[in-house]
Amino acid sequence: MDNDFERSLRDTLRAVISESASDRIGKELDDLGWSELVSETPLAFSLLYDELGRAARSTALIDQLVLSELGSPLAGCCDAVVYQAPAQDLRPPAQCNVDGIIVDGWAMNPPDMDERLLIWSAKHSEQSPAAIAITTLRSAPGLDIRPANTLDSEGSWVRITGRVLHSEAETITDFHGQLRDGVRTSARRAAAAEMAGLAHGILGLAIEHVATRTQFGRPIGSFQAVRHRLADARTLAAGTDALLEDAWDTGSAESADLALAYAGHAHRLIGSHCLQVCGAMGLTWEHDLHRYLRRGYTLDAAFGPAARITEYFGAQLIARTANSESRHSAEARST
Amino acid sequence: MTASQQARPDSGAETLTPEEFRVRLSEWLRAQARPSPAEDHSSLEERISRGARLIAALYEAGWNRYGWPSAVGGIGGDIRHRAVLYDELCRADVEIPEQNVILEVVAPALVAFAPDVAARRLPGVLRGEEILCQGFSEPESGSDLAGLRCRATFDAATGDFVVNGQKIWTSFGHVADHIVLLCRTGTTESRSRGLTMLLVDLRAPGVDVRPIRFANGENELSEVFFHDVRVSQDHLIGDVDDGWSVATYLLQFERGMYAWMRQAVLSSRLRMLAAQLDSRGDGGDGHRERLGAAVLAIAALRARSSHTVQTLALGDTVGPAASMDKLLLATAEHAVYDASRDLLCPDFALDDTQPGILQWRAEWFYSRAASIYGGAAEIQRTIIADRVLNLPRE
Repeated sequence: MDNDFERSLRDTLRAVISESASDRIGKELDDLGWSELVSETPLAFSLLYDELGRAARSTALIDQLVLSELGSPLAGCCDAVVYQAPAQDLRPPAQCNVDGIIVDGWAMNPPDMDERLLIWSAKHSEQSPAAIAITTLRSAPGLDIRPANTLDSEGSWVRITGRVLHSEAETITDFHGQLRDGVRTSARRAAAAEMAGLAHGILGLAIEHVATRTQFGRPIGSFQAVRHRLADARTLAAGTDALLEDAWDTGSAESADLALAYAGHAHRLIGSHCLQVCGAMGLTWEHDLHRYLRRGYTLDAAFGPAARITEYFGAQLIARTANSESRHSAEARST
Repeated sequence: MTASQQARPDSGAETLTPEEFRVRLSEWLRAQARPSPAEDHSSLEERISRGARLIAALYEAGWNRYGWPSAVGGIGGDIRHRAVLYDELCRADVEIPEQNVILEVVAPALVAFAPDVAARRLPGVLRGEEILCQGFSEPESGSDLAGLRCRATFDAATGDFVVNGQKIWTSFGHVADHIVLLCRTGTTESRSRGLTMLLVDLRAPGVDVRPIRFANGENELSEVFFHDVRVSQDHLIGDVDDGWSVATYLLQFERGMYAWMRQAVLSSRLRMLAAQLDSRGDGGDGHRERLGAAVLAIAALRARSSHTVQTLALGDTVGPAASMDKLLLATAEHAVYDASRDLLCPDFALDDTQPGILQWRAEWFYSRAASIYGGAAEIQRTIIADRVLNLPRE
């Protein structure tokens, strides 16, 4: 994507995002030929999420990246995604057993009766491999949908719980969990990109505030304590952007995890720096800052959370070290 | 290390791409006898002589000549090849020679501003026979570099510069052969406009180098005194009174390449820390989070400095945004070494007979310098506030 193209695409996205209701943005983009654009230039997604974040618009468009990156045999089979509960390693939300799949997850939008939902289950035991199920609310009456009471008060998140019987769904066995990992990687990359946009949006609000708010006869943005907080915030945003660039380039699970974990931590820190420098005004309902925090914390909880992924990277590091040590000593023994 | 014939780069043949270079280099590194694990802790002087042996081996096999022009003893390629060299050394847990830290900071400026000086000095440096150092800071000019006072006066009769003054915090000064010296040729009030860069032989009469004992007990740094030191004008780097341009150019490499080298070293050290914790049977919950946070800090530094190195490879200027690389570097240094201090508790403080402890202690102290050297973190934040965020000036 060259710079001119990127600039004009950003302008278009900004216009669509600012002129449309949140639940209409996807439709407006479709009318402009979004699906053709992303089939040729998948990186357009990175700009879409960034711009959505900068405007703090709560949409369900993360689904779009997940669905567009589904490979065989799932490509084109689904309309929306039911995401796992975040604490997946402690409490698998959707378990597969002989009768069917127990579902405990979220969707970003209330699905219609005939929308095809993609539901993935964790591996339940050695005997029952993980599975992906595709079904609709009409076919699976055992699914219960209710609004989720998320912090993201402008979002339309719903909680989906219940059970899908094998006879009510098309079930694809996901022996090694690659299908599940693919879905998770796409979702995490999209969420990270939106969080990076949120972080830039927060910074923009704070910069505007400190440049105009005057105390002691000078703009508060001329005080070193304020300037340095915002410089730190900007640096965290730069770190997030750099990791995201890698994540879009490689498409790997690790790069998406790194980007989302860093984005989560960065968003928290940037949020607290910027809340502080915006003073009491930043804590009013009228000021937009809280919208950026609400959406960010919700994305982090739903797709991360950053703290959990961070712990996972620490555990990985120890595990890899242990593996390579035992490999080294095995080599030493064999020679 | 001994050179292995099969995997060496074909000097003189078509330049390898950075990726081809990476593949061949890693094959070569795998074929080398693994260096015996370093004794628990080595002094700077020991690390310098170990580094010289490694540089000689890399030169012999051609690896460290990649990324430098043939005029200075290289065999072509660009900064990306050098970035791969450091990355692969660390991946193989081979220590980057200390000499190369300074080489990467000062040599690009020599090549760009003083090709003749570069052609005289760099071949010896690439062979591991000579060591460079960098003289910027002075007792009264740390963060306020443009106020420096070490003076070079041109003597028209002999065509020499005569240098008088003092530099301080010179890394590896007491083991170096030449110093890249920023000195004043204009009036004191001329600030950054009246500065000139020279290459000065540290063996010349009138030079006195005294090591400074760093907080970790090592001779990492020196102070260097100049008393009527004569420097011939063919040792000029850039133009007279244009030393600030040279310094600005040089600092881009400190922000970019130095940060890249450190991310490679930090990854290797963090793996070592994890291995030590694991071998102590010490993989507690809090440990995982600390280690993971360090992984993230290094990843951000790597992603960011990789971008900066690519920019430098294109010959583009790295602007004020590189100050963010510098802050990410300090964050990563602190994350890794603070984790070593805290997770290796109580041995870090109480028992240096445990493996690796002396080195962790020494490196912990050095990591604290990361937010000070090359422009303190506060200077970087001010640059970001002024020139990246365009905030109202102080």
